[in-house]
Amino acid sequence: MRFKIQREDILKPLQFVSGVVERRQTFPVLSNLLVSAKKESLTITATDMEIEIVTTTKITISEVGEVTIPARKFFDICKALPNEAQLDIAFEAEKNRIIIRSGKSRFSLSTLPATDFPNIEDIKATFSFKIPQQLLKNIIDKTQFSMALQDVRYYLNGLLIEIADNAIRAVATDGHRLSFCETSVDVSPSEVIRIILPRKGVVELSKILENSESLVEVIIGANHIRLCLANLQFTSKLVDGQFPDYNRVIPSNGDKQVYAERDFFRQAMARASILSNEKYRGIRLRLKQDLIQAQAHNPEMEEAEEEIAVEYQGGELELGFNVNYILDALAAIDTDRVKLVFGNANSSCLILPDDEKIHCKYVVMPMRL
Amino acid sequence: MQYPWHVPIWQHLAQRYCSAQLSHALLLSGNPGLGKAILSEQFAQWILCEAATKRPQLPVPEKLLPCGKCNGCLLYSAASHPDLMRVSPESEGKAITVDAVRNIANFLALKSQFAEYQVVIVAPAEAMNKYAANSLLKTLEEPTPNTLLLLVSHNMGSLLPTIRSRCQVISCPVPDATQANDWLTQAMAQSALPTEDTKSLLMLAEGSPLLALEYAKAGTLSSYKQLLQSFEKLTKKQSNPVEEVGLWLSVGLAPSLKWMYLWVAELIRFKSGVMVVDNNTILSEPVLGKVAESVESMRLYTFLDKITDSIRTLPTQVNVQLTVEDLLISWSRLNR
Repeated sequence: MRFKIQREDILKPLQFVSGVVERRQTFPVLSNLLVSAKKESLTITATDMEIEIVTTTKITISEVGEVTIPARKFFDICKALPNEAQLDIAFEAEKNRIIIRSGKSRFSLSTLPATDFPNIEDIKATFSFKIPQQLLKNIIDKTQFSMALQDVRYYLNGLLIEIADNAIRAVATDGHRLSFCETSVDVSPSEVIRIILPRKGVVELSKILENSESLVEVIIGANHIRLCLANLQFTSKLVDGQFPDYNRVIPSNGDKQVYAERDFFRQAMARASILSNEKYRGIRLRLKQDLIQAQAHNPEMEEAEEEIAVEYQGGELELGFNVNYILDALAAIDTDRVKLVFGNANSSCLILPDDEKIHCKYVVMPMRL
Repeated sequence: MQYPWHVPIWQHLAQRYCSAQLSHALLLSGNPGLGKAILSEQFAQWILCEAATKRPQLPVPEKLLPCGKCNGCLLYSAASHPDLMRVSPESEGKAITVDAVRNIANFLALKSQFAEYQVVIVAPAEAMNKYAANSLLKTLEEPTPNTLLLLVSHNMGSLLPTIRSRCQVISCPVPDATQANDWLTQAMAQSALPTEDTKSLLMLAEGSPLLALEYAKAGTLSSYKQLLQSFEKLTKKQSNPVEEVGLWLSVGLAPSLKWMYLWVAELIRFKSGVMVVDNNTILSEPVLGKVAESVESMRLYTFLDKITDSIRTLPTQVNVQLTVEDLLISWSRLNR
């Protein structure tokens, strides 16, 4: 294997893939990158056995071949070289070394054979579709904060992606709150597809996707999901489990509808949260005619009280919530006004954007204070 | 390579697999030195091998080995197969921690990468501490589909009963004497060792051929003979415990306790009259006779219990010298 490349051309793909390479690796080969030089392109692959990123760069290859090289060291070398430096990278098969030459510098790195590298080639696609990047990014960003973190119910440590007729939904829940977001796309699977993307894959994916109209191809296999962008291919394993039926969690019988200015409401919540219990984050909400009174106190008996003017016609109601969950939901909504739907003191609160066209729902369970 | 005494176990497991009846958790149990860990590795590779796992038709062919050429086998050999996880103590004698076991749950929560199965090998299973073992229970009870947990244990009794009851126990019996002897002779000839002592080596290893081979390589037989001599001298009052302690310590606590157990057990058998003195007798006749004459059975049994207690304290931070001194002194007091 041998090729020449400019520093900037290899630095960008390396930045993309090196995020996947973890420092502490159980398998030595995972701290390496798979570099493979095909006819007219150079592909670099990194994996941590959970997610895999492959980047492709179009360059002229003098000699095809593939080998794995230490990721961290290779990246650091490329970073440390001067701007616009030309790299000449060659693999010496008899010594199992990769030689990097640039100007007066020369580096020789150890390698491991490419066959040791567990890259995923064929994911046995069962369904695929195309979607504008920003739509996919949007539904992920609007829901991912509700994913559970290291819950024993491992299927909650991820994001449910549901593909139904002409719609894609993302749902995340940690058992205390739930986020739901739907977008319409031209898809028609023979039956509804439900997959759970693991937490790590979701976080990485939201970094990779851009706010652009360009299309991304999504391929779903039995055990994996793969996204193909222009120069990048992202593959993640799926969670092996059954996501709870979220429709039963979203309350439908709430009769107390409150309309509030989102920013105004959020700021008041944020202020009150300063004096709420640091561990439980409880806040008491009291619904009155055109008014919400919020009250928080901490173990030192310090107290915060806020009065928020809202649009509300209905009976009085008092209930407690984790203020962080409410703040998260308010932050994820981007309309100026929000609609809050309450039932009774023991039923969940539904927070919605005040716009029928945006299909986002946030459910927060009440807590006993 | 497949050990001849593994063949029936292989057949059994493969048959289960081929008829889609393989249990999700197998507990391989048996004496040390039977190659249980190797068996678990081989079986894991076979499950992950892309060629072999295309279900062979029943009845299962006699030779079942991974192909060694497919992607699965290559990744296995490179120790980077993404669908195989090994859980062992970080260093010999340490415990398997709860974090390691939690990683199993995280590993199994995701779907497999290449293979049909996700395989986890826990060896030795008794190295799991209390918390680790308890957190494995949920995984054992509600495994994700296509999961195979292989637990390897040579001390099944020290596993939590809740773990044992959740696994299918595959016991690896000691091979019969001829088979073990044949294999050991061949293996020793291959590593250019003299092959005349195979019978005694197998006796020392309680019939486990691999352990016997290890003993042969380490020259354990000669230290065994030294200890036996020292034990007989002590019994015949030709030496005193303090002089002999050095020798026992140089051999090490674990083997000396095990051998002493064998000898005392033989004395009990002789004393109760169920044993005939022949070629296979370990202790010499005068020693047997002397003990049989002067020591009551009851006290021999008490001493045997003492050895068992010491064996139990082996993994703890017990003072080795004190343990040996205590045992030898009580032995010489015993047969006044």
